[in-house]
Amino acid sequence: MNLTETTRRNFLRAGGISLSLPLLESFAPARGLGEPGAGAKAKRLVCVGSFLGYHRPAFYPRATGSNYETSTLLEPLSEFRDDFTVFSGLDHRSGNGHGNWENFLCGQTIKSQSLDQVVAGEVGQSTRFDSLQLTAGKNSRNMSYTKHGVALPMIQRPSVLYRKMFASPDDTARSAYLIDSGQSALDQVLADAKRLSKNVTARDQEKLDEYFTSIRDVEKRMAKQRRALEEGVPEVDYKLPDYDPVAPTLMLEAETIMYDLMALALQTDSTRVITLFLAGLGQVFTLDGETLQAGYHALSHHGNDPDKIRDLVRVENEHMKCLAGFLTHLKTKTDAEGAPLLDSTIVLFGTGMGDASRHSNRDLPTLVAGGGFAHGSHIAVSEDAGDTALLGDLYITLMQQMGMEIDHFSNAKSNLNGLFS
Amino acid sequence: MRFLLRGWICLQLLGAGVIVGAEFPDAFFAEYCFDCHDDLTQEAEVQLDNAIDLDWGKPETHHFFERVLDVVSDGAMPPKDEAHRPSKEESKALKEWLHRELLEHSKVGGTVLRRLNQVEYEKTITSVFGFDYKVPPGFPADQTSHGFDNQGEALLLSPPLMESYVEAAAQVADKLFPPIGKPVPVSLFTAMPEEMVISYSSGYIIDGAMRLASKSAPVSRSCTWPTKFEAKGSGTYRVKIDLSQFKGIGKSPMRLQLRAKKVSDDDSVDVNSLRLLTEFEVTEDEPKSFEKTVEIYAGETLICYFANAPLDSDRESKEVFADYLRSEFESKPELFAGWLAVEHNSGLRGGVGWERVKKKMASPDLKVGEVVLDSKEGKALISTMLKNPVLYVETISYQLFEEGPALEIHALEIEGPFLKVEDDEARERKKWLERFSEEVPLDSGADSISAILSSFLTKAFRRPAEEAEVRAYQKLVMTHRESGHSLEDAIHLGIRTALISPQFLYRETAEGALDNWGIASRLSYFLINAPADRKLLEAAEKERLTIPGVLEFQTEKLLEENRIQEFVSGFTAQWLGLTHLDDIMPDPRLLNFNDNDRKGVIRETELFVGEILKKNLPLETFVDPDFTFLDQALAKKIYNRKDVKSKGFTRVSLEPGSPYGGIFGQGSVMMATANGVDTEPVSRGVWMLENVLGDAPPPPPKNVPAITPDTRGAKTIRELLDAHRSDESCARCHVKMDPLGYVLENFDPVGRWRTHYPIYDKKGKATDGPKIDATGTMPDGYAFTHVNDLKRYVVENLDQFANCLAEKLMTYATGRTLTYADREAIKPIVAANLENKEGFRDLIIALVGSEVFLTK
Repeated sequence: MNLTETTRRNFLRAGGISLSLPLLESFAPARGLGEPGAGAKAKRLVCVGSFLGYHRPAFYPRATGSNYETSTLLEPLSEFRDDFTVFSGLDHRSGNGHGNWENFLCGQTIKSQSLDQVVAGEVGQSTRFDSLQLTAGKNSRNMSYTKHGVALPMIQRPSVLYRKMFASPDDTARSAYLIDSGQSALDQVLADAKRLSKNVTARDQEKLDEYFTSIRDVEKRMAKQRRALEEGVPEVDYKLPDYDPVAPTLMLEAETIMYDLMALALQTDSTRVITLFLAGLGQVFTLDGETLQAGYHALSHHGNDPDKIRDLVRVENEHMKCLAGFLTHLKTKTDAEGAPLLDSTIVLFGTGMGDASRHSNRDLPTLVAGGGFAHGSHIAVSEDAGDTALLGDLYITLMQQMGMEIDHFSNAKSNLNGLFS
Repeated sequence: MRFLLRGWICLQLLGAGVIVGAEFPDAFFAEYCFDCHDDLTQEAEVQLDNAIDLDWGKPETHHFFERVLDVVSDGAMPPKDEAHRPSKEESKALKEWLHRELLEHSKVGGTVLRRLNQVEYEKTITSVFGFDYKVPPGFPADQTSHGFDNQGEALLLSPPLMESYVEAAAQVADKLFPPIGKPVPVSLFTAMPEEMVISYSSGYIIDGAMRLASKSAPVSRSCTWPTKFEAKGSGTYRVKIDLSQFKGIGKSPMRLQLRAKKVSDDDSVDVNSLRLLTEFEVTEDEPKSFEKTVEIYAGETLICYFANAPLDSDRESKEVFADYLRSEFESKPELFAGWLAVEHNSGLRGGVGWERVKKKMASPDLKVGEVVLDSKEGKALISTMLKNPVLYVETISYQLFEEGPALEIHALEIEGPFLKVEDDEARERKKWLERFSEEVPLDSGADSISAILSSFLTKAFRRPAEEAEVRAYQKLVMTHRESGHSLEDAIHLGIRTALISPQFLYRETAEGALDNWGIASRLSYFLINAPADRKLLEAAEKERLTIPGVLEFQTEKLLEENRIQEFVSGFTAQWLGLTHLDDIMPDPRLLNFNDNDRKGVIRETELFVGEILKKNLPLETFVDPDFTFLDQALAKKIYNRKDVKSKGFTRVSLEPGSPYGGIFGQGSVMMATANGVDTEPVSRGVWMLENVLGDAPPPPPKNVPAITPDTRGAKTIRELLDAHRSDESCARCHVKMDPLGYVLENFDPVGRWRTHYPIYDKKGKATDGPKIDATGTMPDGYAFTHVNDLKRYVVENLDQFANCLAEKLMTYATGRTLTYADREAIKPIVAANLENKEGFRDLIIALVGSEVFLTK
């Protein structure tokens, strides 16, 4: 899809009226809709969300289409130019402020099932972990929500993630002990619950059903973990530093390690759905030996001060370099068929905040890499010009790429297949 | 069902009324309602042609008929402009019919199994084991209903939550019986300045040394610590640190404190709350090594704090900052001139800000000495800086890093652990174990185990453990012991089992009237958020709570002055929606808002509600009091009052006619009902209806676009809303919501009084825009021109407010959406309270004694 800005608009407004995107569906190529995930171009989904977003003028290329001149922030991704697509103008039409950041993967309503969890429900069953939730730096917001609106906790310590996936023998013994003895605990509480259920009303019974379901789910998870412990956890040749990079100024180091471990998790097929939160609090970074003169959060409130913007973009540039490192891993590591992981892994890289300086959550800088899409262009949408495309429409396209039969997500009921496939 | 309803009532032919006979109320609906509400039209998503076939077994049916009764009662339906309307008698008959049907089909009670919410869970564990318990970060959050986080229906038990419970239970058991770890070998750790944390403007590296200049209380604003150190074991460590002073602070030495902080604890914690390990006095300009052996516990790091630094951004230390600024500006005229010249009120921050000031100082245009400190400009500069010390200390820190005085850290060395030490937790553990075993020896004898389990399960399940339960848990523990595990492991298993049992996780399990244990538990969670204490349990054990007077006495006990904080903060915040304040960040153009302000406005409301409770004041005090609680900062910032000088919160009187005071004249509520940037009259109107008048509107019909405030100020919100109201289906509800919202428009998004909407220029400076029009008329004809009219309106309709408050109290206490019968049962209690001119505490006590409270 190499449309220039004007022709694309014309395309959207055929006949002088604003053409709403649902009609585009009819232009989209028909997809094979068989077994969920079977034969799909994409098998894995990674979502990375930055708490403070990205300075849009530095993120977006000026031109649209495929012949754009790269932007400051896309520069570190130059070698992957044909492996990603950058989107401008998409958002969920949700509220503003840091609190509404959580709409990033939820769509218009916080606490509704997040994109990653919708996908994990479909593809998570066959792997050790349905999905993994990670954060670089202390997460000040939630990112993943289950279908019941429960926020999923994130792992901040690389050592914890590493142990979870590639546990050491000591840890394995303790985990195995807790699981084995835990089984008799579950048996006992099930008996407690059955006794209780004899004397309750029908509505209480429904409540107890939640309990039974949850216990059964825990049992399943424990069995899965136990099996994994027995089969032996995958062995990887990766050495963590002997400290955990949890100090606020080490966030970028934590980010790099998290990406490394994420690549390993995908390569060992430990999971197929991962989210990574990129925190942004007061930490003052030292970049290339120079200590910046204000904390990350203070920089994001730049108020158009060019000096602060310069430093802010330098920090954001580090995120882009980390992403480039991750894409390198996904290009070089291969799946079971010997194809690069990136070919079948969708990397959604974005944010719930469009402009942290004004706390605006419109026009969210978004980038999608890999996953078998035709990449290489900048697709621009503009609400002001009457475009109705939503970020949720892109999510629908991503899910369809994973072979899911889905035609709505939150407030979005369309897709971007006509622009991006 | 249909037959029964049809045959319900025979009406006489009255006046112009036409609806008679066995067809009531179907005929009524057909005559007056079907035009808009049959299966084809379904206006406002209401369909009446199948109404009498609805299934009373479903809660929706109850909600539906209650809504019908509401709109008929307040005359909104059938619409006033409808030519063909029912006679008074017909309307009355319909209301009576609805009332009787609703009463007949609903009953008092019906709370579903209530899972402990997060706070209750934490407090219950604390009460069972005796240690302060908080769930780990990332624990799944609770769901709310009616704004309350303790409602049975809403509190789901999801698989991820169950998984978290399983993990938490093991961690709790670990605290009593920790797994045996491997010994930690001695190792040497070194950190150079570049391997130390800088957070906000807490430090800066110059000439190879980390310089510190602030003593602000939050660790993240003043301290530094090694980025890569985390003690692997609790023990003694040898610490060596190279320090020097960079430009001294007069005669006194610089004091560098080393404190211990858990790495995983929040970095914004108050440094003074951390364990002090040692303090070094630095007097020399050349680096000197200081050495000391200190105890560091597993998981901790070493915080370096310049305890007598010149700068302090804490609000409590404003005077110190003011003195600092005055003496600096007096002795350094160029600096003063530089600050005056720079655009100091547009968010200078950090080193970038200091560079700006320096540039002005170096400029040939700098006018030194033209303006004196005592001038209008000078005072304005200082007062701007004092408004947000955090921001300006961030900037001035960089001046001190460059010019001094600052304390320098050159290198840090930590070696250990040499001697294994008993950390705080190990010392505490002995006490917890004593408490847990209740003097029964911890041995493998069947009797001991049975005794220990029986007392533990009684505490955990908050009622006497049944014999069968004790036997089952004993079997679990003994089996584990017999299969070769230690006694500690076996009890560990018993603990983590009980903590995921439904008997622990849920409360209020038995149907119907609560028994003594059920009453004790509900009362205790209602008023102190925790399980019943010993005295209340004793009363329950003797089955005394059902004896008249005893329950009243126990309730009074829990409402004693020093115990009401839990209830006041929990109930107030959720009733009034103050929980939203966490997510609101006021527009900086409006107000330099910080976390202390957030706490301040909430504190005002809590103290206010607490006072009404303590003094047992009449209910109208909520609406139209002659007092509130303020400290100097809040008084000035929000209420423009200079007469409040107290640093702490104190009761102050309000002038007669003051718009402030009362639940809708306080910053907290006005902030929580706006979005930080603009006011939203609709939100405030809905808030008034829901939380004050007890007349919650239905949710807006689907597909109605939200109103986007026009921030350019071209149109007032009223103009936008008036356009919105021209749509008839919107108008039905807005006719009530809008006047209630408009009349509060004089309160800006942070609760300050205003007469005009602001218009901002590019630099964020405000000028007066359109004048605020607070007028409006309620559907009953009551006209508002000022918020005090609204206060009068609510006082004149006090029963409406009082019923609303009572319903909120009982929703919070019982954890259920009140049924029609519940609400009818509350009404006489409220009426008696008003009639006898009783107070708020009287109301709570009377409600606790009601069937509504005492039924599951």
